[in-house]
Amino acid sequence: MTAKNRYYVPAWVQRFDDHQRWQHLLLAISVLMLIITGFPIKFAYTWWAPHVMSLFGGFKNMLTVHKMFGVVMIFSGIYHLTWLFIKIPSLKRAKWAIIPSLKDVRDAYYHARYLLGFGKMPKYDRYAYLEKFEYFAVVWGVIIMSATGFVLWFPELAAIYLPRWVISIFRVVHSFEALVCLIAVVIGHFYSVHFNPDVFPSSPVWIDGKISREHLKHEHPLEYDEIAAENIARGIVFEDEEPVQLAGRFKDSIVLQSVLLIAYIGIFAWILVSFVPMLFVFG
Amino acid sequence: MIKSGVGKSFVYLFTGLFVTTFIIINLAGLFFLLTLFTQVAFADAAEISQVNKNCLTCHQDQKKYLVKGGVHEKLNCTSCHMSYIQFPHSKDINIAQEIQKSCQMCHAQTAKEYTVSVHGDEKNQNEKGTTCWSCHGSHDIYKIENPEAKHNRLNSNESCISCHDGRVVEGYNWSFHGVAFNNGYKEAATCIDCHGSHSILPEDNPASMVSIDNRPETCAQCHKTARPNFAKGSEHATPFDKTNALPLYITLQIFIILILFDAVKDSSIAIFDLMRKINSRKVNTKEKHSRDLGQ
Repeated sequence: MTAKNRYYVPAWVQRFDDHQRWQHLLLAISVLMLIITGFPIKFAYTWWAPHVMSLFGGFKNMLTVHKMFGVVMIFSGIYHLTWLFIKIPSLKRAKWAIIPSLKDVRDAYYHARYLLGFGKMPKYDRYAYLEKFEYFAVVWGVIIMSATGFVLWFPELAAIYLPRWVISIFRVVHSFEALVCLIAVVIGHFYSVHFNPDVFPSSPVWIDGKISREHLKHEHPLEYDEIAAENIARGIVFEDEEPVQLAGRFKDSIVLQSVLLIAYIGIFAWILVSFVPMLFVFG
Repeated sequence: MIKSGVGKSFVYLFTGLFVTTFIIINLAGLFFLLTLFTQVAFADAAEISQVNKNCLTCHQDQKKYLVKGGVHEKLNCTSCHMSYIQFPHSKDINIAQEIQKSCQMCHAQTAKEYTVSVHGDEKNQNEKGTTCWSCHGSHDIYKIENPEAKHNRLNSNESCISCHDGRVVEGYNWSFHGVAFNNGYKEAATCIDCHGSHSILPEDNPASMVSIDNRPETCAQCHKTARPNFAKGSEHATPFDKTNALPLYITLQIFIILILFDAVKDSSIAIFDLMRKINSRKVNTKEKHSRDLGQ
C-alpha cells in the first residue's frame, strides 16, 4: 500500500449549496437566452439578425421568448434574495465574505502588478476581489435590465409616471447595459471559469458545488488555511489522493495558451474599434 | 330489322336528329373549352370600350395602362384625362392639374381634407409633387385591402420615404416601431398610423395628429390609454442626435464608457494572465507554483 499524503482539508470542499447552484443555473440559462433573443432586436440591421429571428418563428415570437426568460431571470433574483434572508442567520462562517473591503483594493493593486510581471500573486479569501466585483455587477445588471425591461414591456403603464423622453432613455439603457452584461459574462466571467488554462475547459464548481483541494489552495489560500486550522483544532485528518479532474489538465498546453491569447487580443481590438468611434459621433 | 317504310323513316329521322345534336353539343363543348383558355383575349376584345379604342389608335404604347384588376378598371382613359376628349388635343393641358381635378370629381370629401393638409397646400409642392398619385399610383390603383396597393398600410411607408428620406427615416428605423415593422411585426406603427394620410398637418398645428395635445390620443390607438406623458419627448430622434435628444445622447456616452471600462478591465486581465503563463513556461511547475503563492 503506497503511503498517502495527509491533509487537513478534504479532497473536495463543498463551496456552494444546492440552492446557490440552482440560482446560478437559472441565471445562466436566462441570461444566455435573453442575449440570443435580445441582440437581434438591437442589431436588427445586421446580416445575422433576421436568421436568428426566423429560428424563433419571427420577430414577435422571439420577443415573447425574450420576455419569458426575463421573468425567469427575475425569479432567479428573487430566489437568491429569499435564500439570503433565510440562509444568512444560520451560517457559522463566511457570513459577510462577499462584502468588499480595503483588502480587495490592495488585492487589485497587487494583482495588477503581478500580471505585469512584478511581485507575487495576492492571497485571496473565500471570494477574490474580481468575484465580488462580478457579484455586484450582476446585482446591478439584473436590477437595471428588469426595471428598464418592464418599462419597455408596458409603456402605457410606465407613462403614468414617466415622460416619453425618460422612456426613450430607458430603451438606450436597456440595450447598452445588455452589451455591458455580454462583455462582463463572455470576456470576464468566461475567462475566469472556462478559458483560464488553470481551469480549462470548465471549473466544475457550478455543477456539483464542490471545489478540489488543489484549486482551493491555489485560488483561495486564506480560506484553505482557515479550513485547515479548524480541522487541526478538531484533530481531523484526511488521507487521500489528490482528485483527478478535467479542469486544469491542459494548463501547460502552449496551444491553448497561445490560441486564447490571440483570441482575446482580437476580441479586445474589435471592441475598441467598434465602440471608441461612437464617443466621437455628433448628430 | 324494320320492314315497313314508315318505320324506316322514323329510324332515319331519329338517327339524324341524334347525330346532329351530338355534333352540335361536341362543337359547343369544344368552343367552350377554347374560350376558357382564351378568355383574356376575348375579355380584352369584349371589354375595351369604344372610347379607349379611339385613344389606342394613336397611343398603342399606352395599352399597358388599361387597368386590369384595379378599382378603376371600368373607367375610360378620358374619365381622368378629361380634356383629351377633344380632338385634336389642346396643347396647353397641364396633366397634373387636370388629374387632381379628375380625382376630386368622385373623391370630393377626401380632396377637401387633402387641400388643407400640409401636402395639399400649394406652397408645399416641390418637383416631386404631392399629388394623389404620388401615394396611390395612377394606372395601378388597387383596393386598399389588396396587398399590392401602394396605399395599403403595409406598403405605405415606401411612399413617404420617397421624399422624407433623412432624419425622419433614420429615426423611425432606429425606433422600436421601425425595427419591429421592418422585421415582420406588422402591427407596429407606420408613418400613416401616427401622422394620418390625407390630413397630415405639421406638429405646431393644434389639429395635427402629432400635436402635443393630440399625441396621447394618437398613441392610444394601439397603446390603449391616452397618457399625457406620451407627448413629453421627441420622436424620430436617435441617441446620436445631440441637438434634439441631448439626455439620450448623454446616456449613450455614459454607457459607451461603461462598456469600454468593462472591456479594458476584463480583456487586460485575460491577456496579461495568458502572457504571464506563456512567459513563465521555462520555469518548472513546482517552483512556479511556490513563487506565485509567495512562499
